[in-house]
Amino acid sequence: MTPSLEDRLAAAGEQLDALIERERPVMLGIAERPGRPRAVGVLVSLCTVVLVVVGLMWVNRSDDPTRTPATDTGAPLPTAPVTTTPPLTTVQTESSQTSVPTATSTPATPVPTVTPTTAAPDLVRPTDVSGLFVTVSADRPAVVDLRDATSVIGSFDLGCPTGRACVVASARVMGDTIWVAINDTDPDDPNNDIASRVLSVSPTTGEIVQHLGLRGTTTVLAAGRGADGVVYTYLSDELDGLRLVSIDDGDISVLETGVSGFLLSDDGRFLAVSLSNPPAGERPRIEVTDLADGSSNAFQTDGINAGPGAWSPDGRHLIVNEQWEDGTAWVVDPWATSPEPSAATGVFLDGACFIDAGTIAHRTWNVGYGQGDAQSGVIRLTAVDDGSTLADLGQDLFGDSLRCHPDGSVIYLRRPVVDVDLGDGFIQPEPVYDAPVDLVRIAPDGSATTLTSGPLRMV
Amino acid sequence: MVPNSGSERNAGDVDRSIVGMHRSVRRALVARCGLEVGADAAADAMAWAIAHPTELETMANPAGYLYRVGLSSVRREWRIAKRRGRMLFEPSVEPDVALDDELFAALGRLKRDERVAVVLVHAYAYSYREVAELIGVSEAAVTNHVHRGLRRLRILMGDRS
Repeated sequence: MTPSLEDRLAAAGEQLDALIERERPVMLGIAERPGRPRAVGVLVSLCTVVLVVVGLMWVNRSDDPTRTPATDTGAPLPTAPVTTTPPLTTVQTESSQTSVPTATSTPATPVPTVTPTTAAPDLVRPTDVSGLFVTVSADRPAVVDLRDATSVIGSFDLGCPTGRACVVASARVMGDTIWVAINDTDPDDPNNDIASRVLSVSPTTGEIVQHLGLRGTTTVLAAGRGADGVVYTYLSDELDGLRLVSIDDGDISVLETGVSGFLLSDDGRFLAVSLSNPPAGERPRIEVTDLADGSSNAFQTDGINAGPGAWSPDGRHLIVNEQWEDGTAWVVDPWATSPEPSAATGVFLDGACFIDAGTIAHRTWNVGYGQGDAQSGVIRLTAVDDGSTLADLGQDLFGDSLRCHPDGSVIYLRRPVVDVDLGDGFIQPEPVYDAPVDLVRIAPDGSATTLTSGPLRMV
Repeated sequence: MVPNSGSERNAGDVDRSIVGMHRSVRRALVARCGLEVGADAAADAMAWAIAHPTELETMANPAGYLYRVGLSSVRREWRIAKRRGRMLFEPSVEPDVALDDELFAALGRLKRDERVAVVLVHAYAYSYREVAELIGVSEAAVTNHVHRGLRRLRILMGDRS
């Protein structure tokens, strides 16, 4: 009889112990090496610390002309005119690389402060919500297409080094700037050396500026400039995990470690950071800050991996994504003394957005977790105040990302669904993830228009 | 076997003797980083422990702290091992220890925290509480790691077990 997985795991413990309990270091499949004396280990560790400190002092010295952690103040890279169609200009690749100080060498500084404020912040917060968003096509992976509700209003080639595979991790339209996080790798490189960049693109002038260039094991996930002038960047590293860093006048600082989510509002005024893997004894929490007036708050979340999903245009509400198995989301008033999920709106599915300060658009289509079956649905408009359903847009929809537009329309990526025979006559509808998708606009009256098709992603 | 009951050991806090902590930290680091790097990291952590007995004595969670010390020391070695293209758990060539190579290959493909949780809970019968204390996360997080890790293991192994 085949042993169960649990039995095999139990036996694996004995196997591992049999190896690691030996007096010498064991390297399976690799020639043995002499054990490192403990004293030498300590000495090596001390030397490493000294080298790290000296290295950081060298990197952080202010008069080093070769230091380029951030190029805010440097000359802009060659720019691309705003065009709706190719040809596109190519940006030169970054001229230098830098590294981010590790959390162990640079203590994480919680900036901005997250001390809960007792006074309610100013809630009159008009924001400029353009409704613009960005798509990337797989056949032009380093070109970002800036779109409004109906058409492409500009395309910008960020440059992809020859022989490298580029992936835009995110591109946020914030005010008059697109903030792009882009990474590239050599598909044939077994070491998976990653080059990552943070760029800002001005749609009006076509100017592209590189703010951060890294080389090594770090991937940039998202970036944007806050209302305080600081460029916030969300990083993932194989060894250092998920971190939020700031780039301020050329200085890079680690603000938070163990960050499971990061979100700036469209105008850069509101910052939300989730910490889902805190030390034992602490609960997962989300920290919010008004970067304009410095007010801040922090609240616990029940969702173990929950992170910020969308700011309402006025900053009064925040959609929190579960970021876990069920793909649920909920609304909170992040400035409340004890923010709780809104009972009115309840729990809905993630990927939702705000059409305006009082209306959420969210999907009802879903893929059952661990089941893989596509369940079609609608785009539901829900009132934030009382949770009432204002409208159901479309019918029998299935897709990926949603984007809300101030004109009341919602744009989404329609993904094809096919029936798959799982055997014994059991047919299950499943999404086709490698098929082209349609970019579809659902107008406030429910009418649908296909804007374009292709291997698109909203980023 | 009830994996989270700690039935083969006394449920409760991680053993706080030096030997007990060494065993736990080493098991966790080996599960996370593989035999070579994990064992070295554990050795570095214990070197720190021996050099800092007073600090260790006053800590609420010394094993958890040592685990983090080990993780800190592992970074450079892990980079080197990765560049050499080594697997976390290489197929065994030890004549007297028969490793379940298929299982270890699948374990190597789990996320790190999932792997640590699955190995400590199911291979060593640690309780969720012990694992949470050792790796510095909540019990709920351990529950999720174990749940997801086991499911992924079954998928990776084609449900043959």
